[in-house]
Amino acid sequence: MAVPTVSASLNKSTFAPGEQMLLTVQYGDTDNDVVTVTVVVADSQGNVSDPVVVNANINDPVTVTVTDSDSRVWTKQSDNGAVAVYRAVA
Amino acid sequence: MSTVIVSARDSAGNVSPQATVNYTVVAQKVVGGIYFANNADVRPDTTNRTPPINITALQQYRSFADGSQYPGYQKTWIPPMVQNGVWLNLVVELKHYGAADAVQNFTIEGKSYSVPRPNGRTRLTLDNALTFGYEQVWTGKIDGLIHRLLSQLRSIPTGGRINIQLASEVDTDNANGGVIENGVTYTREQADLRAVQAYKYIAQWLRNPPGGIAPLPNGVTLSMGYAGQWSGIDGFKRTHPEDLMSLLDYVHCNTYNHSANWTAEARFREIKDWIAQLGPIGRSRNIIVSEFGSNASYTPNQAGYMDQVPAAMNKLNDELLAAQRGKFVMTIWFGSNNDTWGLLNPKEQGLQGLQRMLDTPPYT
Repeated sequence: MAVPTVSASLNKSTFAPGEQMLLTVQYGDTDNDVVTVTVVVADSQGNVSDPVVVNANINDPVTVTVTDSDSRVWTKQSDNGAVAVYRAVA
Repeated sequence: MSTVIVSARDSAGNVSPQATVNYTVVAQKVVGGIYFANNADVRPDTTNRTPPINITALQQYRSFADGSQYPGYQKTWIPPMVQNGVWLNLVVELKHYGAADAVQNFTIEGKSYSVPRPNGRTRLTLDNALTFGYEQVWTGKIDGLIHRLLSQLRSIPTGGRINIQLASEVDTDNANGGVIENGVTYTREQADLRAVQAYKYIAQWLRNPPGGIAPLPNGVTLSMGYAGQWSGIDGFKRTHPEDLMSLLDYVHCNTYNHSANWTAEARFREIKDWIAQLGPIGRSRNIIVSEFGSNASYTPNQAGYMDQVPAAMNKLNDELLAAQRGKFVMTIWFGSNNDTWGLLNPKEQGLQGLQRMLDTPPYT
């Protein structure tokens, strides 16, 4: 099993008190893969069906953890499986 | 400095290397200072005291008719302060401040100008002060004076900040019977609209000068002064339309605890409430208060009033931040006129109050 990867960036480096802060987290795991399965059905008389191609996602679920040295609470705003955006208030 | 730490963990318990991002939360500072009568050198009573008073803003008054706006005639003490990070608010008036009532012929950056005599009078300020008429402005008659100001601002020290305040108080200029231009009297309402047209012209000129003249240098911003309070909200709205506010960097309003004894928070809150009635551009602009003061005979005394100001600034700026509006960024005590306005009385007590105020967040 591969080790996941993660990177993070903030929308700014300096904030005024009360200002919205946005943290963008990009993450992934090389264990995640897409497998293509091709299915063909044949009967005893040798009749063979057309192939059916199915894509299967093999997912190793990844959990992202965000902590803050200032005990600031980060709330997830969105997550598409590769990029997650968190929000906090300065 | 604070740090966000992010990690990712898969189903088997494999954990990624940590990613870290550093950030800083900086309290929004407000700059502050004091003005002394006749554009006096502030250093003897502030930075040269022991311990020094933490001056971060400076107020000066000039006329477009004057030969030198920046730094001003015999004002060699100003550029070093600007260089050291003191934010200069420079009022530049259409009113004459004692310059000769005469045609001015001069050359600026290779362009020759002949500026006519001012053809206006204000009805209230400075006892019917001689002033360039608004129409003289928007018909280009004082372009040379605008260019002269612009050329002098090019000597701003790198990293320095100068705000040009057009008009000390446009409402005071236009109130009590409006203005007279070229012998014609215009009502206050008419004068307000003429003022907007004139100040739009100046702001446009400074931002986009004609004929290949270089525009305003970095660090120079623009505002237009308003007295507030006694002159009423209608005039405030009339003189702050969005097309003018889009050309100005700040909303600019004075506030005096002079006619009735309010708290500092209540006085500054009035400005906040007025600006709430402007359009979205006006509301988004940060706020400069380059004249404020309190009657020395009120309780608390002037120093006690100054003691109220830091908490008032923090509270109001928190509210403005929550409302996603512009915040107070500069407040300057008006230590002039008489002690019902802001002349310090007793002076030493007032200076100690000023020192406490400027040593308290958000001023430090």
